[in-house]
Amino acid sequence: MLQMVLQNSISGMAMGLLYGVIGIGVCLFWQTTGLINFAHISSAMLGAYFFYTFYVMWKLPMVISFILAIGLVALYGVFILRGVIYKQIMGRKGGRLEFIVATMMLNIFLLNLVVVLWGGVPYPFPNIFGSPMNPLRIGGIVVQYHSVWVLVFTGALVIGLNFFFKRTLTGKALRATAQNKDTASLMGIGVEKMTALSFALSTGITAIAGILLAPIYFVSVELGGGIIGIKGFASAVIGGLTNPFGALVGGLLIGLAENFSVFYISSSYRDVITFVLLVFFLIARPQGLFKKM
Amino acid sequence: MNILETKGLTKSFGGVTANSNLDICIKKGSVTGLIGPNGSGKTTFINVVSGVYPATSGKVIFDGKDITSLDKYKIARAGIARTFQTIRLFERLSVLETVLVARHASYGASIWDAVLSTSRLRAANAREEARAKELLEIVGLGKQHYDVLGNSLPYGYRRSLEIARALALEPSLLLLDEPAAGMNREEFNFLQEIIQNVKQQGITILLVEHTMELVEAVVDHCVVLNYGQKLTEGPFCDCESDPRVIEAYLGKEEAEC
Amino acid sequence: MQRRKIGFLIIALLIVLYPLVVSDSYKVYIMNRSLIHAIIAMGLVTQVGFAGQISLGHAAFYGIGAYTSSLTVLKLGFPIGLGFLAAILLCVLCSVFLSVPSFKLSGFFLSLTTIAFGHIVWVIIVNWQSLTNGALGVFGIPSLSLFGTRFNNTHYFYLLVVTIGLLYFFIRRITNSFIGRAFMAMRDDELAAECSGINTRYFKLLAFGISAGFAGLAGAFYAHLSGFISPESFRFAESTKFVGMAVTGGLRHLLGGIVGAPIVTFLPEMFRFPGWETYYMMAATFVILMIVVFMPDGLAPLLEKGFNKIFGERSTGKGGSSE
Repeated sequence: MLQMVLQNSISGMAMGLLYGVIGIGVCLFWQTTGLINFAHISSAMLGAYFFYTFYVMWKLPMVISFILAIGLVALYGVFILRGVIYKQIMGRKGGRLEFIVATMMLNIFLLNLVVVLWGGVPYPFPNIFGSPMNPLRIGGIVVQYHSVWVLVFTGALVIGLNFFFKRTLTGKALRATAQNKDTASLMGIGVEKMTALSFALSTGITAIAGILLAPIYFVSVELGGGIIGIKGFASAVIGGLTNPFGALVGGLLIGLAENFSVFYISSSYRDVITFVLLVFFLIARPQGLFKKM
Repeated sequence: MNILETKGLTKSFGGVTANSNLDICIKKGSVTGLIGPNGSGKTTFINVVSGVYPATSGKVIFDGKDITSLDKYKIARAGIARTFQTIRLFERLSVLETVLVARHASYGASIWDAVLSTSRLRAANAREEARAKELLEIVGLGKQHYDVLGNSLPYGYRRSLEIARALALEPSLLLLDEPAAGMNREEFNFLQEIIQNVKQQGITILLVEHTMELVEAVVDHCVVLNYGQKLTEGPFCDCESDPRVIEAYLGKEEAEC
Repeated sequence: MQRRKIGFLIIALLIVLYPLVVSDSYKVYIMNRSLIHAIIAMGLVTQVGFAGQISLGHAAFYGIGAYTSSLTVLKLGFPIGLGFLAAILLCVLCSVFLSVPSFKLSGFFLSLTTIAFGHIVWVIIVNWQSLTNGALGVFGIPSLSLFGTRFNNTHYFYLLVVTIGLLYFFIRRITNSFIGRAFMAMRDDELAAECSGINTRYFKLLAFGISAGFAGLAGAFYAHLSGFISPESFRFAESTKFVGMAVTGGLRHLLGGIVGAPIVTFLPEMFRFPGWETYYMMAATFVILMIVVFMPDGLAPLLEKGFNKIFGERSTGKGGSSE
């Protein structure tokens, strides 16, 4: 019994952290723009496809493929998402509704683009995060190497982001911009640059999540069209939207709830638990669990 | 007779008390000025009375009825109309339509009247449009303005339109939140005229204002707030010379320097 | 005035002749599908464009409508007309669940709850196997018939055109009235509307109810037109497609839904040149993305302007041309 609980907790945590990383991207976007990007999850899909192309197809070294993939997605974030769509809509003072619809259409377009460029067939992801056939066994509990990697990456991300926001001038400037654009601008912070940076961070971090999700979902359009994106939104909302690390807690909550509901109820209702949590938080505690960072 | 009475009205946001234990009475037919330094809780008071914020404790009695926990639209229909500190018009509605929104309850027609375009609806349309035009007349907006978007009007006219929309509720109490802010001389004089005009129609007015010239010119009675509490009340000239009031205002100015 | 009448006559003639000229019955079927989607998009124009309440969960109502009509007809032996009615009523009832969160939430948060609603309904459809036959779907749904003649695609086409005409008339009367004004006031500034005596809860219920009813009707049409329904047709992607149709046509234009649905449906076909077999979907979605990003008012105002240019302006007031 205890063993099953532990087993479920560990698998749930790995998945939950990934939702949380997507949620961090959502939060970083929300902080500076006050908007939610409905094409958010396509960054994860693009990240996985780019990495696959560089590493498997072009046989570049892993680290370089990783950096290139994330960099390319961040560039897409800055130049297409911000440069074209955000600027166009905000430039004519368009509403949130327009941004929702535009990013939804962007997501559909990107899905079709991916099908054209890479074909619709899912690619199996190379076992760079360890083979699922050959997991770590601690006592009677199975721990996938992949889960360990997720923990390592998330930990590094949290430490890195924390350092960036608290210790570097740019990070502090970004936080100031998130709090109040006018004041930040008066203090000599380049608000334009900071917005661009937050787009890059939001999309880039989501790309990392995409690469880490690929061993589970394969390199497929499922990454950008399924409901993983909604789980990222849910993590961010539960965490409070203004606190990126809150999103990790939100993600963990969803991941655990999902795993236990599969275990105790039925796998067919796996996704419903996310939505129930989401709606519950939206209505009962719209400010989320955590305060502004 | 008092049209509005608040009893121990308190509103706090988290740890900050914006209105503390306010007992304010407003006489029917009067123009009451609500003054005080920035952040003294004037706008909060208007927001609590109009139902925008729920009161933390205390009561708001309007026309002898407790309206403390009523919905905003019910308070509006009961006869308390308001304007906003920063003008809030409808982005895509014309001037005439903006006023007609507040006439909604007077239509006395149902959705089926709308679908079937019954004679009842057509009569109501004609009646309400005529009334809306009357009200626009009062605030100085004429035929040439009917079909333009409310937000495309010059600043002073936008204020006027907001007042016309409030008057369209046929209120017995009108809450004006800093109507003169940002107005030029001409607009200011006209606003004064409008307020006098409204008062003559027997509508009670609560005026929150920083421009003392306007307060002095139109107000019968003054209530001074400071740090969310009632500092004093009485005729404007008494309040103006009250040393506590002067200190409240000067204290603020010193802090600003 | 006379020239405008000629214009309307030409459009009416084109519509009447369409299924006769297009001899390919499958094309008429696809057109019928797009007209069914147009009904949903019209509802969304009312709810999102006029009342400002976003919904990304309308596939749920579409599904509820389709399943209600086909199951009441198949299992309870309802006449099809009654099945349609049941579909509309159940959708309007369910819309209450969805509009309650809108009392408190707006914008993104509301859109997330509508997504959640859509997904939960979908999961229920898939898993309630004893009722819905799960992922396999419902077969053998009878087609509409009149005086013993089973409806073919051409009959459905005319029926749908007449239905859309009536629904257009319905929402036009509503949006041009004091009720539409309340919708728009609520959309533009909810607080100011409430302080002007507008009961926004009532109008949110009304807006959700109207568009849910439309989607339910559309679902019933779809079930009896195609004879087979499965959960696949009611996924989240469909909800986004419906909103996309409304926006492409023009979210704030009464004709937005009617214009948008056929365009979004047939746009991929237009890119099916030889040699473009792999690209046509991408090209079509790209065009729609560009319309959404660069033409926020959609295509309907453009078409209206074109119509006015050729056939003369209407003398009074605003509002669209009618079909």
